[in-house]
Amino acid sequence: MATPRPSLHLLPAALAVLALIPVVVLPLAYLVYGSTLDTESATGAGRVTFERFGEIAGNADYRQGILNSLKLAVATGVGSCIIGVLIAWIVVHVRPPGRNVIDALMIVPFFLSSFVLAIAWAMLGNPNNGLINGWISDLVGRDVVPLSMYSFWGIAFVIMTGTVPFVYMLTAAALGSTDPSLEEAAAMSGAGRVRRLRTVTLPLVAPSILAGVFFAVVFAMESFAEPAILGASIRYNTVLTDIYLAVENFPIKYGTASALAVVVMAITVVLVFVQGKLLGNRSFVSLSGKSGSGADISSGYGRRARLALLLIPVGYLVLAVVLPMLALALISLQPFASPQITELTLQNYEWFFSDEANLRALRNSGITSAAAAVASMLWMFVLAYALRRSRFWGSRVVGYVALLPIAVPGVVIGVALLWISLRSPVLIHGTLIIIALAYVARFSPFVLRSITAAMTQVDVALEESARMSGAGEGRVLRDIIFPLIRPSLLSGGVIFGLFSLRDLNTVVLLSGPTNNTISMQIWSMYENAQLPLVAATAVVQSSILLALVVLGRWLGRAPTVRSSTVDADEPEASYPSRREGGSPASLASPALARHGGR
Amino acid sequence: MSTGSRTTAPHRDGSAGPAPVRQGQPDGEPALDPDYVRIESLFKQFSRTGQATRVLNDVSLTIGEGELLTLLGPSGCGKTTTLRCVAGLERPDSGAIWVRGAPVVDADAGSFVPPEARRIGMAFQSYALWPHMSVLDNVGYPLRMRRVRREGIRRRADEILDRVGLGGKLRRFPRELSGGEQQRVALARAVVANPDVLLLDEPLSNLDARLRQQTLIWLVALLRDLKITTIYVTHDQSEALAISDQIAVMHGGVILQRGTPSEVYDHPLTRFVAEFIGAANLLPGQVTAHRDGGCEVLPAAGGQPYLALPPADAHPASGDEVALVVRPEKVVVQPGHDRPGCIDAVVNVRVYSGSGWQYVMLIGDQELRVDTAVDQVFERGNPVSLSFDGAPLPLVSHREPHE
Ligand SMILES: Nc1ncnc2c1ncn2[C@@H]1O[C@H](COP(=O)(O)OP(=O)(O)O)[C@@H](O)[C@H]1O
Ligand SMILES: [Mg+2]
Repeated sequence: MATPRPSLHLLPAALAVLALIPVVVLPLAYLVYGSTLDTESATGAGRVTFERFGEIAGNADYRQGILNSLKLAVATGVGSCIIGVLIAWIVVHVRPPGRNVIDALMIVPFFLSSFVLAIAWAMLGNPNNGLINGWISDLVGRDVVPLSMYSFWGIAFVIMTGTVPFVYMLTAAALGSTDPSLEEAAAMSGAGRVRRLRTVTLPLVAPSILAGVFFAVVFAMESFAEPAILGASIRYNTVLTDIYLAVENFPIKYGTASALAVVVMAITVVLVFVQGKLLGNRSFVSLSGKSGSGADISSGYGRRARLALLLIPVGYLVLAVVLPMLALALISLQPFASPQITELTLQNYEWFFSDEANLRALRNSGITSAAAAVASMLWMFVLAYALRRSRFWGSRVVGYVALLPIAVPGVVIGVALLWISLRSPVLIHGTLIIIALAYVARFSPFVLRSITAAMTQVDVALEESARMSGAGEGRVLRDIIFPLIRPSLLSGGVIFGLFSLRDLNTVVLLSGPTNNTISMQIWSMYENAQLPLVAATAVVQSSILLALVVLGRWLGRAPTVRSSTVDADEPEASYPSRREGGSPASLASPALARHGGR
Repeated sequence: MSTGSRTTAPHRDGSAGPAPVRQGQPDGEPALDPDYVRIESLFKQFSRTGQATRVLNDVSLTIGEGELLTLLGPSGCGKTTTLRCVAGLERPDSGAIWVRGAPVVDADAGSFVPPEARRIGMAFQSYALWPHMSVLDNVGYPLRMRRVRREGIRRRADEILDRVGLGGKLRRFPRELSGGEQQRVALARAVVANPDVLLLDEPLSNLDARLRQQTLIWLVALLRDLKITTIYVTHDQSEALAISDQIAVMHGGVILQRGTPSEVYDHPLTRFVAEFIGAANLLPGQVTAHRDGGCEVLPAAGGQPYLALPPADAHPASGDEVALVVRPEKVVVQPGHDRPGCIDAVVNVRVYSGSGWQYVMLIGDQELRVDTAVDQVFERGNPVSLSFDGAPLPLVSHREPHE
């Protein structure tokens, strides 16, 4: 709908757009530029060549790393597709008892730190003294090693526990919002249950499934901690572990790291682009898959079948959340890591809260995350409003640039910011500033998506009616837009905080002794094999994350829910991409029927 | 439906000539301004993906003080765009608009008063109630913007909400109201601050048919009461006929005709107006003679010549092809063929409408809609003879001028 030409306060809008240059454009431009230099130094001058890419192509190790990343991505995509769709089908169509609880819990694996989960699985399933191997050996009375997480399948499995929710959430939402009469019409046409599923239901939700699978694939491409933790002892490398080692090991090879980063970034950007095309403008009406009545005619499953099928989602949740968290808790309560519970103690926690280094790391994480989240919310709010109001030349391009970091792996952002921090005239290397900057660069797109999704739900007529009531543009922003998008702004901010508090990948190359974060603290303790201490720290971190999720749910509630007629199951601190197009009931214009054409 | 004292003379060409000053104003009261809102030569085009479409093509109108003018036309003809230009939510490419003698936009001079400074109330088609504000806050908002104090807001909002029958629902939120109630809140919000002009964009279109009828009657009473100068947009001709002092019929970004409801109904200037308002039949015929300031027209289908009145600016000569405007209720039906002075036809479709019958008659292969009383029953396929009541009949040109 056309609005009067923007007389909007140009300065903040222009600043918001221009800020993309130092935070997003420049680092990535430096990364690409650095990948073409014929020097491995980040500060020295060099000639522009493209030899670096030839070198990578000629190096069997690097080729293997890229191949391994792709193999992990494919395995994760296929695996999470099968499990995610299966669980979605069970929850929405089979409707076992407790499906609402399952639906609510399916989001939890997504909020846990994949890094911590990788550590938990290393404790559970390493071939030497893993808990599971120990328990089974005790059971059979001799030493056996039935399970090794230190393997391709181990790595793929751990990544997958984190990606199943993507596929589940998108598929369940699509299944739940599919008009049941479509399937009923197929039934009336004589199609049986399997046929209906195959010819009507699945084709309808196929784009959503595919979109979820692409998420899973990109997530796997970006995973760093899982292969780094579980693959180290078997020398299993991926592009991202190669990048890490190129920067961390002497001689430092910034050029090679950058070239590898450019390669992986090219892959993920293309994947995300395709995924965006797949999702298109489809709106996922509800985030919890149980909206609508579901396809009732298909829920003719007997009680026994429903209980049996319930085992699949329950089993998944046990493997993805319960078991690893239990393992961490167990080990954190022991003086040394052991499958047998011989002695329970709180000494690890006592140590955690008495060690200044831990507390400093916790403080650093808190300060940088909070500051970055606030900065990002402010910045993205102005940017989103500027993009909504103006159709200036290239505003689409600005939108794309602002969302670009969503497609860039954290480690790659890290390399890009390394260039900036090493070449910066003011000292930011080794400070908290570079950490906060990295968070802003990496996680702002999630805030932006959350805000834009809410803003597109705000009918322009709501602004126009305020103008007609005598409100100027600033008043409209304050009285109408801001209150309406506040829940999404806040939950976007909470998600930002969540992501940055648990982040390892983005800061692993930027963080040192002077600007340690809590994840980095766990990382370095793990390298020193202090497992009970690692476990205690991980439990502390996970508890903070959990508290944030709860806070996010609370903050994200619609501002004026005073009516019993309102759906209480609005999504709150949910994954922002799922929010896109999701319409909080409070934001929809009273009568959605607008005349066509505009 | 027009109240006599408010009627202005018709401008048959739809131009913006000044309306004559009203008669019979009692001494001491200032005369009502006939040019309260003046719209002059609005042009507007939208370009979408490089392709420009002209939406307003030289739209000119005047609205007298306290008058209710309806913009009537089919969907997409530019009614909303015209309204939004008056509101200030859209800028015309050229042309100007005056409210109370002051220019609010003059595209050629580059002047533009922003919507918030225009003192115009508007009720949106989608209602556009703010979902995060209560009914009271919604309705009080325009007053807040005018820096009315809290008690003043409360008093005035109470008053207006009582007037629209929502006195008890101050604390409700929009989503807790029915569609009809939301519509009334939107209306209350539009008028609460006593705007100079009220703009209503298809206010009844989101209500179901029954509610629409009730609300229409209620709205007529309210608007008469408030005496606010109003521009009302609708695509529903019966709504327009019921509610308006003046109707401006729009089509394709052009104002085809402007006049009182009865003028527009009884004296359509063009084929389009005749067909759009009251679903008239257009019966081709030929001018045979001139008399009594009109002319005699013989239908091509035969029968007798009828006295017909051409539009003021049309002067058909004898022998010209024209079209007679025959309203369905003006057709007299008699059984059998070959009656003198009548046109032979055959009953093709009969539909019961409760108060009577609706027929489609076939004259050769031309369809003619006919409404009759309940006792006039003709079976499908039977021969009938048709003649027309109500001479002089309106006459329009054989072809649409710009076709
Ligand atoms: N912002 C816009 N951009 C492009 N085309 C528009 C815009 N607003 C209206 N139009 C077009 O202008 C024409 C007239 O629209 P409108 O004034 O809304 O018609 P009405 O209210 O009479 O139905 C329509 O064809 C519509 O598609
Ligand atoms: Mg319209």
